[in-house]
Amino acid sequence: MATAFKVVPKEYRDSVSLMQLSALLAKLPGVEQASAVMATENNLALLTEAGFGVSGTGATAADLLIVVRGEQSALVGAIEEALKNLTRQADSGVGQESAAHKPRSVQMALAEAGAANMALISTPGEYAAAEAMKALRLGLNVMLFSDNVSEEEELRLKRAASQRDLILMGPDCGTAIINGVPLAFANVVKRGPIGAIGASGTGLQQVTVLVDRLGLGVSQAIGTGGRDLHAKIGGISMSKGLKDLAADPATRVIVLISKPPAAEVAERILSQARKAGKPVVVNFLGADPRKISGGGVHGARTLEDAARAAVDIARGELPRQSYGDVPPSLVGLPPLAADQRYIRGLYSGGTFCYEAALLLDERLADVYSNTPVRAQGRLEDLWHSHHHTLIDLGDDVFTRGRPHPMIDFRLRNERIAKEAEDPQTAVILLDVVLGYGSNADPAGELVPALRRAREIAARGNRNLAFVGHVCGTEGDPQGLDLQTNALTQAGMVLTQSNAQAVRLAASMVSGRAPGRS
Amino acid sequence: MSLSQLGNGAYIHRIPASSPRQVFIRGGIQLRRLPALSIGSRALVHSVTGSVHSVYRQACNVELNDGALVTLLGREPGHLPHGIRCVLPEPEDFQVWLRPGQAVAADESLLRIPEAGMAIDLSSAADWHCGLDGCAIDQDAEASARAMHAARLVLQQQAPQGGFAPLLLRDVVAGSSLEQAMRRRLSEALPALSRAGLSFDCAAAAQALAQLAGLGPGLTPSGDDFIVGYLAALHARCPREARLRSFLEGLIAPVTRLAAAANAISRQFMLNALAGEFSESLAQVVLAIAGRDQLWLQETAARLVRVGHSSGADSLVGLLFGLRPSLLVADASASRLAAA
Repeated sequence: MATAFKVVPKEYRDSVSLMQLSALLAKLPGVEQASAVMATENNLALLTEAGFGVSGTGATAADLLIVVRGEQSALVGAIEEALKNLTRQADSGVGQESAAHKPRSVQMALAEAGAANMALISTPGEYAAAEAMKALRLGLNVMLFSDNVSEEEELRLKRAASQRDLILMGPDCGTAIINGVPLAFANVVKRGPIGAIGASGTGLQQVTVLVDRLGLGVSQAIGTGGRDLHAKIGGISMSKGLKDLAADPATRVIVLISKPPAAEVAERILSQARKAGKPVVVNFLGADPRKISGGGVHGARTLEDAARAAVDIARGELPRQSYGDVPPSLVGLPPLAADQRYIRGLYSGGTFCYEAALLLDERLADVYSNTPVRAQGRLEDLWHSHHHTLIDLGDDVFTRGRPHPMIDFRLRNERIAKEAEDPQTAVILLDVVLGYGSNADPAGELVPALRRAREIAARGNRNLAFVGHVCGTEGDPQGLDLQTNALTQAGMVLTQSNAQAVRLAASMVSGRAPGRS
Repeated sequence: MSLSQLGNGAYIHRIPASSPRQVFIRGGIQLRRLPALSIGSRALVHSVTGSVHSVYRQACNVELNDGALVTLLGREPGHLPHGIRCVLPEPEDFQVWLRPGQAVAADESLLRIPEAGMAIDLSSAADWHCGLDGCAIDQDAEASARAMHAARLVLQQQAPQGGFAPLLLRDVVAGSSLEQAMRRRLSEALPALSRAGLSFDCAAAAQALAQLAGLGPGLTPSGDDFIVGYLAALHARCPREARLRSFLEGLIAPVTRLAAAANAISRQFMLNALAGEFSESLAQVVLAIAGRDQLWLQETAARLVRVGHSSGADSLVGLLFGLRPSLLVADASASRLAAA
């Protein structure tokens, strides 16, 4: 390994830019480690102690020091990339002309795009409600991507939208497909007869992706925000979406997705669904589908069941009560040691994590999570796994100051290594989400981590099973085949859906850990 | 003029002056007059000259010819002792209007940046100071202890990767060689600083602080932010612990020397801290702990942790360490650090 460094005199980049620069350089091919720090005496000493040869730089505390370590052939290019990056940042920062042309308010944007009827708001939470209200007053539907908007503000906004016959999707609405345009974290799917409304981003992604893969398409996918079906909000956005899809001639079947709603809200939404005049498939995760079904409504147990039922109905076939109870095949999976008893699910999608908790809780005892099905299953220390553990890495705890785990895989990759060190880990359960907004090459991020985890386990004479699913379509920018091939070649067992992956994982540890009595 | 008062940071209003929209300077050059909303207690800009040092979207540092730094702030960031909050024209982005190196001159009522075509009108701005005068944290009070633990939890759960907090509070698997080196450094310096604080040994404390100054990532390196937070803790403990006053006074000379070796931005924060002046976001956490207000503490600590990349978190680490070192370097952690 060789080291190269570059001193950039009197360069005062903000800390976030420096962190991003370090991360960017560390990901370049052939680079093992990189750092962009102020060249203080202590930092120079630290770099020397860490094995970077940085003596005789002549730098001072006011200078920026860029250091890279790796293969000799990669270092010159890495330093050049760093300098280019600094120049690009400077250009984007001081480009008066381009900045002057960016609209600075919703009103200015509307003046430039007069035909627009929707505003996508993504600002820090404390400003988001005010911006959303401005958009509503201008007669725009709103997709409110921002989080940290209070429930009181949400109610006020949704009532304001309702009075104007508009929809407010959100807050914290991460996924929508409107008139064929994927917004925020969404996949490229065919257009078709199935309209979906979801109080969950990854839930919507899973259903729309499976509909596409099953050969049909999506008319609209409407997000409502995770609290819409709380008693306080009363399902205002889901109700509006349902009304609109019921009136939409391009939509033949409607799918509703949510974590368990408040009972009175569920009843009101189901009552509206029964009067929609079209078949409605409902997946209220955790609710008993048999209690939902009837009067034109079909209850589905999992996200996959919801997608399959909607496709069957759209094709004029009768939906099945369940699509996934056939035990998945265990042939070809690695043998596990006697002590390897537990599943460790590391999820980037919150609803996938919750669905996994639900399905595992039906089959196994001692399932812990930060999205637990029952209170006693709450994992107290999120940094340490305990028995079967399912972690939603999109939880605020993990995303402060860093990108969402669908974008930034570093935290998950670290946790994979940590789970591999635990001799009781049998299966590492993962979701891989493609589409707009997600990492440009998830397999490229994951494969080295899987390889490293195997090496860690092998040092203890153990195998490890990696089970998961890829939520994506061939039309997604990352390419479904490209991603699945890379992951399969790295030894990951891929299923068609999250539910199938969870069932497979459960089968693998069945008999090794206590089952649900 | 109406200013919303954030936390207990205090504003003292001046009488508004009539403000024509343009200013003419020698040679007939016309500058746009922008009103300053408030001026921090250590933004000493009377009859000075200097130049633009560094420019960010919501802040612009001006280095005065005597080496002091003044920061022009937009409407979003919290206030600073050396800050002047002003309202920019659209687009509200300093990077659009200013460049490093542009000359700055100020008198009592105007701060002029002719090359940028602007003059900031100081005449009707409110005075701002962090409001920690008389603030006293009673370490023995149970409610204060609960507040400190709540702040630690915020740090543990919300501090970003990078900086000191993850190394002290989380099990990071197989960190890089740089992280491992930093852990080793912390495992030496923090227990030494803790011991020095208990025995009021200024020389030993100065030695430990020297190991931390300029250490770590960030424009203001983590160690510098830590020192600022540590000094905030000492100031807040002083009123109830008489011996601490002389300990703090004994640190003035060595920390001034450390500040002299730091970059201009870190230097200004450290000198402010020696004078008992802190950023609004840090001061609010101190006030929340002193006021034993756990809800406010959670809110202010979360806000502090979001400052910069890890700067806010590092200053919170310093604050908690200065209040109660065992919150961060219990025996177990120390040995874990040492073993890394």
